[in-house]
This record gives sequence, C-alpha cells and structure tokens, in this order.
Amino acid sequence: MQTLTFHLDTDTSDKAIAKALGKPFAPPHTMQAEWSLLDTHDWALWQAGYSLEQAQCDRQTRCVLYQRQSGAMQGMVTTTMPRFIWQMPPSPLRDRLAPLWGSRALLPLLHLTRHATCWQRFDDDGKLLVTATCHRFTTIEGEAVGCWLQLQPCRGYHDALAPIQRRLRQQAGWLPGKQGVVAQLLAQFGMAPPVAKPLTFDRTTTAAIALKKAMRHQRAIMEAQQQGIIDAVDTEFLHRYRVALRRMRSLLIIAKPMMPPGIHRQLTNHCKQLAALTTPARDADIYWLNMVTGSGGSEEKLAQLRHFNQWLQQRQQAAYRALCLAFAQPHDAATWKLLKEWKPKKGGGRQPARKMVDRSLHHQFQRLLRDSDAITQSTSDKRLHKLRKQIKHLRYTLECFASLLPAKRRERALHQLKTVQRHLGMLQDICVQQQLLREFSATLDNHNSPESSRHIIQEIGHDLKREHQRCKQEIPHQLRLLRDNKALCKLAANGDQQ
Amino acid sequence: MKVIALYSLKGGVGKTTATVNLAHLAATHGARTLVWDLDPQGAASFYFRIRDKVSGGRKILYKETLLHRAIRGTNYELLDLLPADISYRHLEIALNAERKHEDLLGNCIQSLRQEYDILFLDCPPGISRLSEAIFRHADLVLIPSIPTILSMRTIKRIIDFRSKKKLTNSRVRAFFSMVDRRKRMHIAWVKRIEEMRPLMLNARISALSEVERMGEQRAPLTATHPTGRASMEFRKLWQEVIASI
Ligand SMILES: Nc1ncnc2c1ncn2[C@@H]1O[C@H](COP(=O)(O)OP(=O)(O)O)[C@@H](O)[C@H]1O
Ligand SMILES: [Mg+2]
Repeated sequence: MQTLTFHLDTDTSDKAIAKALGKPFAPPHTMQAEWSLLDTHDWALWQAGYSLEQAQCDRQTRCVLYQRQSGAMQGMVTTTMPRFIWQMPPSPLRDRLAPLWGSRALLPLLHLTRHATCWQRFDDDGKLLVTATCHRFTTIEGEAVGCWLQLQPCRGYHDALAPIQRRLRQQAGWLPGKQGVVAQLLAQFGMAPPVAKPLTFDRTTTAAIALKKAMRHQRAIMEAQQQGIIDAVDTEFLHRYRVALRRMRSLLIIAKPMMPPGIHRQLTNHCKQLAALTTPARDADIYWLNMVTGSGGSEEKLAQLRHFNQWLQQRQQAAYRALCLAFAQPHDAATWKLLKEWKPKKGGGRQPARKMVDRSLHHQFQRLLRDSDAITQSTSDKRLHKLRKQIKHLRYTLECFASLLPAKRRERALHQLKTVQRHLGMLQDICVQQQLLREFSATLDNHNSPESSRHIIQEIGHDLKREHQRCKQEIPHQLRLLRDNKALCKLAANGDQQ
Repeated sequence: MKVIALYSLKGGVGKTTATVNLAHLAATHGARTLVWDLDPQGAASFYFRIRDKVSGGRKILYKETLLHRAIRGTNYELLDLLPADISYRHLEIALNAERKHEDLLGNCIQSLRQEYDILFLDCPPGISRLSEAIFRHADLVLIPSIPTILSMRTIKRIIDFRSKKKLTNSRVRAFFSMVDRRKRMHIAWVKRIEEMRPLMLNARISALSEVERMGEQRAPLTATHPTGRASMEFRKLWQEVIASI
C-alpha cells in the first residue's frame, strides 16, 4: 500500500498541519501511547521485518504488529503487553508469529512515547478516503525525538491522495521522503546502517593514489557496519559489509599490476576468507527475507515448517558467530593495516586514474561481450553466476570511480547493469534457497520426520523450480540489452587506444 | 484463511446484517477480514458506504489482479470489502459457462488466501450454481432463520440439497434471527434450541429497532453502539462461530 511520509520539524504544530491539509478533513483525534520496537535478538522476528507497537486505548492495550516493508498490519487486544510470543492470547496475530517464535523475550529496542494526531477525509457518503497521521515521538522523559506526517489512502482510493500531496507541496513546501517512519527512527538512533558519502577524485589524481583512496574508503564502510553485525541489529549491515567487501575485491583486481605482490596476495586472500564467512550468513538472511516478506512461502506453509525454520535459525546464528569471531582476530586488523602502508611498485601507477579506469572498463566489457555471447536459456547456473560476478565487477568499477566518468553516460550504463544484475540476482537467490532446502532435506530422518514436513519441503521445491525457470527465460534478453547499451559501449571504447 | 458464508433460501432474514456485524467483530479481534458482497442489491456495500461499482465485469473472476484491484478498504481497520455489482449476475453466467473441472469461485478464494484471515460471503437468496460453489468452498455456512415452522423447513431443504449434491465439506450452522419476544411462536421455537443442537447455535439475535436503524447510520452496530443489546448478541454469536470453524 502506498503511504507517503513527510519528515517535519519537531515544533510543527497540529494547527499548522491542519492548515496545510485543508478544510475537508474531519476534526482530528489524538492519542498517546507507549511505543516499542521488538528486540532484535529474536532473529526470526527481526528478519521478518516486524515491529510491534502497543497503545493504550479504551482501557485495553492494543498490540499492533507492523511489517516494516509491506506496511501490512495486524492487531490484537490484550490487557498487558506480552513479554513472549507464547504469552499472547490466541489470535490470528499469534498464529502469524507462531512459526517464527524463538525463546527470547520481546525486549524493546526503542522505547518512546508516541503522540499521534489523526485527521480523516471522507467523501459525501461518509466513506473514508485518506487518513493523515502526525506521529510525534518523544523519549519517555518527554524530550522531542522527531515528527512525521503520514498520508495513507484507504485501499482502492489511491486517487484521493494526489490532490492532498499537491496541496501540501504548494502550501507548506513539504515533500515526501523515501523512507518510512520506523526506518528513519532507527537511523536516528544508530540502528540503521550508516550511509557513506561518495568519493570524488580530481583529474590529476594518479592511478595508485586513486586506488589507495578508494580501497581505504571501502574499508571505512566495512568498519562502520561491523558493530551493527555484531549487535545483530539488521540484515542490512551485513549486506552493506558484503557489498563493500566485493568492491574491495574489484579494486584489488584493478590494482594488481601496481601493488607489491606479497601485500596484494595477503589482502586478496583475506578478502576471500571474509567473503566465505559472510556467505552462509547472508544465504540464511536471504532465505528469511524472501520467505517471509516475499512470495517465497505462504503463512500456512510457514506454520508447517517449524523444523526447517529452527534448523535455518541455528545455521544462521552459527554463521554470524563465526563471522564475529573473525572480526575479533588480531589478524584481521593487521591485514587491513596494509591498506594504509602499501606503496606502488617501481614505476607503477603513475598514469592518470582516468586512464586506468578507461582501460579497465574496456577490458572488462570486451570480456563480457565474449562470455555473454553464448548465453541461452539453458546455460548452466554456475556459468550465469560467473557472469554475474563479472557484471558486478564492471558495475563496481563504474561506481567506485564515478566522479571520473561523464555523469549521464555513467548513469545510463549503471541502470542497465543493475537491471541485468537484478535478474541474475533473483536467479542466484533462488539457487541459494534451493541449496538450503536440499541440505535440510538431507538431514531429514526418513523414519522420524513428519510426513507433512517432507511434503511441504517438496512443494516449496516445486515452486522454486518454477520460479527458477521463469527467471532464466528473461536473462538472455536482458544480456542483449546490456551488450547493446550505447552508454556502456562508449564508456568502454575510451580505453581502446592501445 | 477461513471462509464463512451467510446463506439462506430466503431474503430479508438478516444475512447482510449478520455479515456486516460479524465481519466488524472479526476485524476488531485482529483478523484481516474481507467481506465479499455477492448480492446484486449491494446491501453490504451500502452499509459500508461504498458506492463503487466493480469495473472489469466478469473478467475479474478470471484475473487475479483485477479482483485485487476491485477490493475497497472500509472505514474500519483490517476490514475490506469486495463490492457487489458484477458479482451475482456475472458470477451466475460465468459459473454456468464453467467447463468441467473449472472452479472459478475456488480460484478467486485461493488468490485471496494470502491476504486475509477471514472471508465473509454475503450471499443472495435462492439455490443456484453459486450456492453449490459456496457449499464447496465455505468452511462454515451460516443460516439465519426466523423462528417459524417455515424457516425450519427451509433449513431442512438446504441440508437435503447439500447431501444430494454431496457437498459435505463445509459445516452448516443456523441461528435464530429477528426473534420477537412478543410472539408465542418465536418463544416456543427458541425453547427447543437444545433439541436442534449442534446444527442450531445457542446465540440468537432479537428483533430490535436499533438493528433497523442501521440503514440510516450505514455502519456496523458493533462500531456505533458497541454496548447496545444487539452488539452483545452479535458478540455472543461471533464467539460461537469462531468455536465452530
Ligand atoms: N434483528 C433484527 N431486528 C430488526 N430488524 C432486522 C433485524 N435483522 C434484520 N433486520 C431488518 O430486516 C431487513 C432485512 O435484513 P437483511 O440483513 O438485509 O436480510 P438479508 O440479507 O437476509 O436479505 C433489513 O431492513 C434489516 O434492517
Ligand atoms: Mg442481503
């Protein structure tokens, strides 16, 4: 459902909001409630992107569960806030959570007071069209935290949103943001991954200096995610860590001719080890994310998958533990120190950075043309995965040295690269899920495992297979678009002087 | 998802009234609820102040995206409605044109399964292809009946129809509706509820002027008069309904 979120100054009054919204809104009603977000230590819940809100009204506590991505909502009335899922009274909400529950308590991650004021717009029949809610968050002590206005159209009445949005822009200059309230709150409290500023290079920078700078930049991004991974705040921290790690590997490939071989080898090996450690954790994350938020499985299926979910949860936690252990090793810090210390080989890396990037793009694109030529719908997954890595390498080169390349052309090329990657990525995600299912099936004891469990695993396997085929059909076409992408061809042609 | 159909051979027995109030209760208890207004008169849509006619005609029965696009949110949280209009006339035509092994209503219900916990079907009166399909797919068929000898025979006919067509998947329950305490006949039938268990539910809805006024207020009574007598009665009915699905 389409909800618009406007971040307002904390001192914006209800009166000002009402004025901006205009007359046809019914008089507002306000309520105040304690508001908490679920503890993250219950992995399954967090992965599923749930947040739980409690509100006191009509002398009852209403628990409302939100799914952060989809905005789907489910409510339950209780007398007290349950500390464990199994303490919840029987309700559809509890049923929905049941397949996910762990043994941990639902400790609040954020504990704030929310003052909500709500205006509603009705049509002539008294049918609700749009709800506007102003959420003001304060700490329990009463200190202002933030203020957001949300516009939510009633299902099937999206048309009613546009005129209000226009009015807000014209009257008050308010523009909707990209993120929802919870995401913005989390960011404010350091619970969302930090976003790094892009690097800029000037035209005179030499190749070696640019590379060094870019590598240290990626390392800084990795470092910034580390605590979030250790604290198990959000899957996004690991995801960004991995992206930075992959970019680092891309940069290392480009840097090979100018780096001292010993240092290059050490760094490359270390990156490889880290990548190997992050993969199982990310695989499990992906499974959860697809399974619960996407189309991967219905709730009914999920309910029958208790054993599988437990198995996955254990694996995931083990993977994260191993990764955190690696962060704590002195070897890790010592290796990354090399990034600061290395000096280019004699006579290496003196050419302008732009030239190096052009050359690299040229070579990569030539290779891509060669390798993607023979891709059809029946190409093996393994080969497609390899191609995906090549495309990523190309993309990372464009992104890391973005400031050296012409903006328009770069963006057009990146757009097509991302599209292809999305398709290849979906395929890879499906392969990951299939692999996990296979591994789990192997652990199923033929005599003791319940029939329904095996049956449902089979069924999911079939669904994935269908999805897999659908994904694969699209890929050759997308690759053709990439090969014919004018912007990319031109960018790659620059490096073709020698 | 559970499918509850409010069904009867007769009109004006309180099907729509019960649908609207029970659906509202379901939503306030946290169930994601959808009311499918299958009656061309659109009374349920009227009570929820939804005047939209469904566009797309018969096609919405074949195309999932169209069906989903036709759904309208009500003024109540977690409670949505699929408006009338196409539903009955087109549905009947479509069902009659159904090929063997085709199952239009079943497919529609299937595509709603992910999104809702409870689906209420507010059915038109009469026996038709639609009723067959409803008996095939509802988890519970709920029959409101006015406590008279004629109504009892109606229930019997419905049950016979169900056995004859071998549509025994769904559970059938009836409840007394529009019970008038001033009528001796009504009192007499209500006294015999125990004999008719488990088919007849214990909860009953009295004939009340507040129910009649629902037409002016165009809202579920359980929302506008939550402490009124009718709301209490619907709440009791809801508890029994949950217990039997
Ligand atoms: N318990 C009741 N007491 C009084 N009037 C009722 C009661 N239930 C329904 N009615 C009235 O009877 C009429 C028909 O009810 P409705 O629910 O639309 O029946 P159906 O859907 O079976 O045709 C409506 O005008 C309604 O207001
Ligand atoms: Mg009716």
